[in-house]
Amino acid sequence: MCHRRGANEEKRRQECGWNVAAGHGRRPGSYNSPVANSIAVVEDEDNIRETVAFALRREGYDVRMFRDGLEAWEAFDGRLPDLAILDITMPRMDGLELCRKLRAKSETLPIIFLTSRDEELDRILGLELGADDYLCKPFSMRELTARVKVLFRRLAFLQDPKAQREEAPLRCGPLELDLQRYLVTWNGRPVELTVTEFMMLHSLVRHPGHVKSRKQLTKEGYPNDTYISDRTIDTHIKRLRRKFEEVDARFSAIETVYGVGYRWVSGGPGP
Amino acid sequence: MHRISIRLMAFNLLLVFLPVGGILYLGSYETKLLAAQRRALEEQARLLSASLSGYDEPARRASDVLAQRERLQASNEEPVRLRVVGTNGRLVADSLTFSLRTAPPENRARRNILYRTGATILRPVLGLSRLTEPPLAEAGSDQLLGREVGAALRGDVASAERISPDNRSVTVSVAYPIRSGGRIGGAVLASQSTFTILQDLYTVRLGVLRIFLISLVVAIILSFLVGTTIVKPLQQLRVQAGEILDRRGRLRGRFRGSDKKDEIGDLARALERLTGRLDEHVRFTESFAADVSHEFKNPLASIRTATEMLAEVDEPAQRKRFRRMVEQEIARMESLLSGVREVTMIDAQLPTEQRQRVDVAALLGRIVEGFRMRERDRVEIGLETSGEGFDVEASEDRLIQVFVNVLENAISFSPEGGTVTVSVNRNDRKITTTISDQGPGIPEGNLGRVFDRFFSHRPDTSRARTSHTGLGLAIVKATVDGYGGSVDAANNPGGGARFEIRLPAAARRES
Repeated sequence: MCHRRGANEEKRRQECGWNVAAGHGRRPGSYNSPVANSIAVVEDEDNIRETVAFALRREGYDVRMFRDGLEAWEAFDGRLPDLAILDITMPRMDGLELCRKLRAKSETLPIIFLTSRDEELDRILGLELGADDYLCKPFSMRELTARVKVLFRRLAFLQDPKAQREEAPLRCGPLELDLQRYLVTWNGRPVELTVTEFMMLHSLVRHPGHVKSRKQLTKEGYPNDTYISDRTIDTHIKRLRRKFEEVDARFSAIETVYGVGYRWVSGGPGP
Repeated sequence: MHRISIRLMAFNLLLVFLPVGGILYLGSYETKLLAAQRRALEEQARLLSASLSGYDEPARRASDVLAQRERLQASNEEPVRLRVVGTNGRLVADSLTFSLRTAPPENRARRNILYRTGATILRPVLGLSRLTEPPLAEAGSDQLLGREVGAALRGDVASAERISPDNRSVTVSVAYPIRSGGRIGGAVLASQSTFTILQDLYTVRLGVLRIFLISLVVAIILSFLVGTTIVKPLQQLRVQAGEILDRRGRLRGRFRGSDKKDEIGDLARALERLTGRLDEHVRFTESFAADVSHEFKNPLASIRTATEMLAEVDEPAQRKRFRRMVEQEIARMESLLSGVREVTMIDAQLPTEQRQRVDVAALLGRIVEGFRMRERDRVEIGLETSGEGFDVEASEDRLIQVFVNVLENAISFSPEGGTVTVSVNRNDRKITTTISDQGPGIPEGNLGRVFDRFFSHRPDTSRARTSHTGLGLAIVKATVDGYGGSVDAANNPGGGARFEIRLPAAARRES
């Protein structure tokens, strides 16, 4: 999502000390100081909306519920929430349109999509909407709250570049993974990944050269979710590769091992 | 070239080759003419031989006879040359020395470039090989060495054919022995050019060859024309057929049809309809599976998140709330399942079901009565019928389901105190039931989609979702279509939606 965040931010990120020795990151959720905490849940299914709102409120967030895109958009009235969870198919105004409207107002607002079709996931990924994550229905509430936490943490660091890092980034050749902020650079250039993509990449990079099966990637990409199809994993890997290729046309570090899964070929082409 | 084109070409060319048969026939005609000529010459030679036999000195006598004969010979015929040779083969007398005539002018046909080309090609084919008989006499010699002369001097009658010295024709010669006493005193050689006969033959041959060549060109052009008008459209169909199936053998398109009025056009249109129908069916099955899985994901998501919450909260009120949510969503999945089953079974079951005469007006009367009792004052339901004979052939249960679904839909969109109007009409062979409400109407863009399965447009979500599967109108459409009727949705000019269900009327009862 390089197109989304300005060069300004890129500069800010360069400033905050990347070159620290390699080390392992913490699990999401271990960092616990949400700077911002208002969340908009836009979903036309009453029961899903209410359960999600209930669960997030229990985590201490300020949650507002909306039944469709138009209702949400009118209610925001210029004051955006700190994070938005959007369903895709909704009457009056669907999630895609609302996302576009929100992006026009804010480039950094974290957005999570809830989708109910695999095909839908393919389509919305192709739209380059600049969402920060996607969860397929039926998703697990634990998974959703974990993602929300990660996104708030990423947001906090982006808004306060001076904040000290507790842990060193994971380095592997030209690749650098910042496990606290869920940020990635390749040859020093930032690659904008969704949280799921980041987690899958981390899983691959942690053991360079080792083949990860789709099942393993599912487990690590969606730690709390078990109903993810192999196709969804393939879609994410395809996206990952494309995002790296946008930064470096010669990128080929993610290798498909036919019939088994994927692996990270250590190093890859240097600068 | 394509096989059909080649076949057409072959048939056309076969017809064209008939004139060649004519040429062959002319060949045998020529042979007969030559045989007749040979007989005539033999006759002349025999006469001369007879008139000379018995003379000790045939030479002088021969010259007299030949000179006299030459004067008598008709001038319009090709002259017969008569020669008399002695026992040693030397020429004794020759009618040519007494001839007064000049050679007739040559017919141009044989010089024609077309003729010569044709002759070069056809000669080996038809076996008209050039004559190879050695010449009668060596140049400048009066000793006749011909095969036939030798035979005559031995006492036989013989004939030979040679190319004339002018190279324009064939000369037929017949030798006849002259007997005087018991021995042979010489021979008479009668010879005549076939020139006149051949001239006519050449002209005919050239004419036939011209016709043949012209027909050949015409046949090739015609074959190509017919080939393109038949083969081209067929080829296009084949290309389309190839494009329709992708590499994995799946249907990925349809025939584009044709404007042609001929049989190939009919074939193209039939294929278009066939693939259109197939495509529709494939799409239906593919999208149905996707739709069903999509529809089930929302209740599943609700159940999953609610059960997660159940495991985490202890407060009885909250626990009760989530438990009720799970129950609600399970009920929704059940109704979805039975709806899905119904929609898919209608096509299979309708044709085998027992049908009976059902009076639509009477049936609607009972249904409306039931709804009035349920709705009481909330929504008023009016029923109007005009005319008589509202019988249709159908299963009563199916019809009840159709009308109940449409009425349910109309009532659910009706405002408090609104009116739903049901009217039944018979026009021609259709019984039309119209159900109008005073609700918000159907958004213009959704008019075509209200009968799609799982399509549900309910801005007021509080009343919706769990109780509306989005299958009711889809079931209506599948059933009405199955009975050969039709169903349409529209908006009333004065607001509100209007559904029209048309069913084919049963034949009027004879009584």
